[in-house]
Amino acid sequence: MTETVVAMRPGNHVQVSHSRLSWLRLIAGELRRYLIECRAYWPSFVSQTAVMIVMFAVFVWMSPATSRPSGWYGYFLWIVASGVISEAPIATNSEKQRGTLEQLMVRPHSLPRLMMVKSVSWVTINLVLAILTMGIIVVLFRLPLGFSWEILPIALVGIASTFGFALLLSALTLLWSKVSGLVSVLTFLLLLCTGAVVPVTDLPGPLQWLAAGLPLTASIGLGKAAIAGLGIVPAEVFWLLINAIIYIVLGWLCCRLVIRVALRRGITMHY
Amino acid sequence: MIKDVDLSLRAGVVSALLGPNGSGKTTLIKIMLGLLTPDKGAVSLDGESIDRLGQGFCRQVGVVFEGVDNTYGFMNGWDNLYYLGSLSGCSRRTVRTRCLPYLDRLGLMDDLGKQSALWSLGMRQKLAVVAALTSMPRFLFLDEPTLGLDVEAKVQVMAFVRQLCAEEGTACLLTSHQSDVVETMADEIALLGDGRIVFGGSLPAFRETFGESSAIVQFVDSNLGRSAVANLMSGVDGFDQPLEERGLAVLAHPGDLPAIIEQLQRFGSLEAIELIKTHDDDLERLLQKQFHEPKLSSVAESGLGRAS
Repeated sequence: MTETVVAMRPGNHVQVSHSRLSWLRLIAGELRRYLIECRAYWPSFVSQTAVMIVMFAVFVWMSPATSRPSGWYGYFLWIVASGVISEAPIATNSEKQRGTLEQLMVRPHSLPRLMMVKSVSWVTINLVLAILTMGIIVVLFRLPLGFSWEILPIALVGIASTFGFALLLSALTLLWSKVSGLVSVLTFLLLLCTGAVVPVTDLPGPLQWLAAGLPLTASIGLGKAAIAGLGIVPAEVFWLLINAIIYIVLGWLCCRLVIRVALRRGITMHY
Repeated sequence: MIKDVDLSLRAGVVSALLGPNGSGKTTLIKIMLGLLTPDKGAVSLDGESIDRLGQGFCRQVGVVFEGVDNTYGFMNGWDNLYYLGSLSGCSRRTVRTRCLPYLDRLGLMDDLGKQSALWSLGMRQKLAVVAALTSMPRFLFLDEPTLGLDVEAKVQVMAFVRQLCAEEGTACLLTSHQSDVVETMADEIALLGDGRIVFGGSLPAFRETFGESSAIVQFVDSNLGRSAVANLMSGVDGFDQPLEERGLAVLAHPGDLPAIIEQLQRFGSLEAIELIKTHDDDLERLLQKQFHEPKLSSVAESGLGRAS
């Protein structure tokens, strides 16, 4: 049992302003930190990129020639999404091992907010990587990949929906330290159920039901339709947006809940 | 288990939280920082609960945790400060302006461009202290700040923190197992034992309360000396407690010295005394006695600690 009364009486100190600018500073600082980390651990970064290129090539080559122009979009989105989902627990675990996690926790931003900012930086870097990968494959293999500007917002909303998973997995890492098994289950489930590889209509009934609730499925379906020139139904875009927001909010709430449990158990720095 | 702890921090005052391993010092610091939720009780700032203050509270604290890096080894000194500063809402310019004097004082200026993983432990610890100050906190928590540091780095960190608190009015709470660090840095101490604050107050008050003096009477190394010791240790007349013998010396309470002299005079052994010296327990010995001898008693003094 812990029963404590602690009082602090301060002196006259200048306080740091906490404006909207601090949000921008936070994102810029996080992006810069991530880039420095990638540069410092470049062999890991390069091999990760190589895996991305190989996987992307395999997916594109495996798909029927007729569906290649729009089929790439599903793999592309899954690769970026799985990158964000995988990076979240790895980053949290690294912070725990290093001992910097509690430094983050005593800063004037909540941990879910910091995780969200981190997710933005991972998405940014992963997007750039995925675009480069796609470019390399197009140039190397001269594949006829289709494109439509309409997919940009759809892709961004779809990727943003994975922030919910990233938040939840980050928080679970606080409790369990190693969640790589869970990450694998989730990412491969997304690969299977979102229509990235197998058309959703070919899935068994329960998986179709699961797929229908995933924002990534909607994003992939809408993106493929846009590339194929079939047009986009506004109601579907609206549903995608709502669905993505629900996932982010749920992830945020679960993250807060798990952090609360972790703080009660006092295990935030145990590895 | 920590219970019934009542601890206050004051501006410009360095307080040391002391206790044996596992006594709950780090746990208490984590509770104070909101990193651990207590089952009961509250941490307040200006009379307001830190839970209610939320992130506003975090803007007012800086921390260096024990036994971990506190900074990022893959980044250089400046990048570490910029990044940790950005988490506190500080611009690079603000961080630079604020940290330059600190970095200069701690002798880190020449290495700021190098990856901090390549730095010595002492340098990394100094960087962690500066990083904790980027937001100009009102409260600085230092958990074993000099652990593993060489003498020079230790002296530098101690002097730096003392000067910082004196000049900027920062309230500092530190933990340390090194009595020299406590003696140099702390204005006040709080002793944690059995999950409670068993003493809270200034160092002189602590010495006055728990300190014990002793007298050593050293005898000449001869038959005369041996017989004098034997006479004293025989317990004849005047001593109701046995004296502790250490070779040809006896250890006694200073208050017993007149009786010892008288006793020796009676036996005609006064000339057997070679030397009499008195000595006070040093802080380390005093703390050792408090931590490991089962006689902890609660002492209340204004401000720092109250045990109930």
